[in-house]
Amino acid sequence: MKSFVRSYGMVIILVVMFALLYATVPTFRNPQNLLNLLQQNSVNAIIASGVTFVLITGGIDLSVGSTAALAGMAGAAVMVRHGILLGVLAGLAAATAAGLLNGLLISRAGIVPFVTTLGVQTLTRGILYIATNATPIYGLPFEYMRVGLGNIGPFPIATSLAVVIAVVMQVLLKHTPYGQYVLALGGNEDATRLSGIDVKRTKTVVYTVTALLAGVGGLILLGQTNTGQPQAAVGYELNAIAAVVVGGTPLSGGQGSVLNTIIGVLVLGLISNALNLMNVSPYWQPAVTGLIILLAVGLDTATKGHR
Amino acid sequence: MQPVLEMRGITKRFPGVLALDNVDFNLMHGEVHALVGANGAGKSTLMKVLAGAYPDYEGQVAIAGRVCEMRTPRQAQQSGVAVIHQEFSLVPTLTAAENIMLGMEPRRSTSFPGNMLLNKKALAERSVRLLGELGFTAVDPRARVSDLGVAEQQLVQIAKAIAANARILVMDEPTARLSRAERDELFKVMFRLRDAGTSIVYISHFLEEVFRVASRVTVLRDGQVVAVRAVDELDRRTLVHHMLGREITAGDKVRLEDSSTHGRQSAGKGEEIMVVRGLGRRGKFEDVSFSLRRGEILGIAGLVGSGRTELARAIFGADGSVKTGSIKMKGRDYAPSNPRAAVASGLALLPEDRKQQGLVLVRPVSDNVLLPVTATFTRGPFLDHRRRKQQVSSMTTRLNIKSASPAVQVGTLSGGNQQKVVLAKWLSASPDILILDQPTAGVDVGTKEEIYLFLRQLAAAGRALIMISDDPEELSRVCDRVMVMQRGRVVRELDGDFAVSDVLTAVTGDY
Repeated sequence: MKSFVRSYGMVIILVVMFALLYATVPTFRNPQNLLNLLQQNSVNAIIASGVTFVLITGGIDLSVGSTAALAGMAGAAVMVRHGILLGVLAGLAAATAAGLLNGLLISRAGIVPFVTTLGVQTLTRGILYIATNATPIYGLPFEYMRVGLGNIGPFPIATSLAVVIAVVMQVLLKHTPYGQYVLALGGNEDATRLSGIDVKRTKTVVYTVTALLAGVGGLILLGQTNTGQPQAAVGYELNAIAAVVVGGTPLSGGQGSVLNTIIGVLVLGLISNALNLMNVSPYWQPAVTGLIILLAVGLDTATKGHR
Repeated sequence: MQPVLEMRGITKRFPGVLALDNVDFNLMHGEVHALVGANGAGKSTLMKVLAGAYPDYEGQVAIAGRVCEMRTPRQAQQSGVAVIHQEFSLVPTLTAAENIMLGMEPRRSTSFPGNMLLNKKALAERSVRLLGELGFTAVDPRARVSDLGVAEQQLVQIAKAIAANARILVMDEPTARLSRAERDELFKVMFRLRDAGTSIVYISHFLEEVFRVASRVTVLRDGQVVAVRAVDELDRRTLVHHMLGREITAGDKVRLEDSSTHGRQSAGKGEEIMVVRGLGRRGKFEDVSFSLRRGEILGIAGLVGSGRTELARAIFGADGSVKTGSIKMKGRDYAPSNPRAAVASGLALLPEDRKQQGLVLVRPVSDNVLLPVTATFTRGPFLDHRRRKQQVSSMTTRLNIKSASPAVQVGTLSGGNQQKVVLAKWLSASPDILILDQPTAGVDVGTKEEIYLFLRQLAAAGRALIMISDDPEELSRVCDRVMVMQRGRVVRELDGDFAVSDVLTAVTGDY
């Protein structure tokens, strides 16, 4: 029973919440609301997929929000002059560079992830403000808004991207040697190194890929507003970490799954959606989210028999 | 006489396992009582019940005739029980004195605000007095615990227990990380404590120690008590028989049954696979030279700090490149700068500390076994789960690894089975040279024999092995040659027909 709760606890909570809302709140079952729900949580799903890897290595990444903003700004600046394709490439390249910086500082220079990514976060934001004088970039091609708000069939483009990314990341984690190395080094870095595995490179790749995904998230956000905002995605790193933790991936490393993270994203997303529909003051939202995080982690700890 | 401690009908279940089955155990005033048994017999579980680690045991614990609840560590502590763990429970950043007085620090006064403030002078005085009374003069109370050696840390733990008025000390493998001299010193301490009325439960895999320190022995096997005897009524053979429920012939050379010639091969047989010349690492070891042939097991004997572990790590590239000296492998220059290069050249290292360096405890048995060869069991870019499964099942069968399934976390296995997983992991990589640093530390007698036999099989199959060990008996039984190290240098080499006593004399000798 305990192991059942441990494995499926969050899925059960997600299903029960969904069923309750579906049955009791008429506006909730409106298909447009359901699509909105998916649309609104796509960026967090994409970023949190990467952050899952970081937490599995036993690290943390506080810079994904600023990296998303960096990608958006670099993308916007290039897009205005050279078109959508080059803009997107520029955004992804800038994000990847920030991730590589994180990865190298952590794995080669040996600075702890918390400090490294805090530094890179603050530095990135600072550079964005200096470079733009804190003014937004306007005048993006109108078609680019499809990336943020458009659909493929009935499904938002952003959601389709999130699904593809989550599946790829889950396969990478569970079905490739690279995923094995990530899980192993998160459980015991020394033993993994002594097994002849290049832990430095593995870690560098983790932070780089995470930043790349943050960049994808930032470019989707750009498409939603069609304006490059230097203060975009503030606090997104905490939303992502919250989703990973609610999904049940422990901060201690060595264990976890991207699918669980997606469940975490949906649980948090459903709650905020429900509060909106029920006209609860937005001031309530952080408190409820905080409570959910504590409950999720509490449930996890209790079922693991911690005294 | 009334026992100080009486445990009656203790039963403890884990999911799917009956770890303790109606166990009775008692301890007299001023007695050293040994608790022995193979790995997984239930020794640790029984002592954890006593230490209040499990709120849900069945049965009764009585201290000095009074029934006590031992449901929390605090209840156990208040009943006067203290456990000296293998893994130390000290705060490394605090001083010895601060650790000893942790939780009962003297205050400036008994009333507010003085009772909020530490009385550092009294704290220092009390700990100094206590260390003096116990005769632990080697311990500097002002030193940080992280700066103390293993033996001194142990003394600090004992002092802390005594300061907390412990009347029952549980010592779990206390000598595993001590040198011979430190061990003898610890025994003196134990005898003094015993004579002063402290009762001691002593857990050890070293049976000689049991005979040396204990007056009575309780033997556990598969969660049940199989014998309670006075030590005088026992000999080693009977004790081992009780532990395993079968006979083993300790003392004999380990031989393969199919062919007696394999038992101990002359060093001239196989091809020379590694030649080490004048290898050195500043402050660790210097001028080490030896050669290694296929089919032989080279032993390295020496005390802790003799440089033997550092030598093994250097050959494996675990601490970066070595500047002094040279290594040739299969005739080619070999200078590993990291373990990856070493593994690629056909080396493997079974490290000293399997929990910290050998295993990823939170990962399943299967992932651990396959870790070094993850990249070879693939189909395209993906893991080949079918072949992985086959490989794991062939390894677990070959090494007789006992786990509920390959999917359980390695951390849940017993010490002996964990060590077999580390062995399995390196066998999957099929190295030419396998370096083993204390392969049987914390492993029960039966599993030890299995490991010995297995190492001989590997040698017979043409691999070269280097085995570091603390145990002269195992070196003399398993190895073809033994190299003795002291203070970073090779001081002797034993070859041909040597016995336990030769190894022992060589290790402790003065050069």
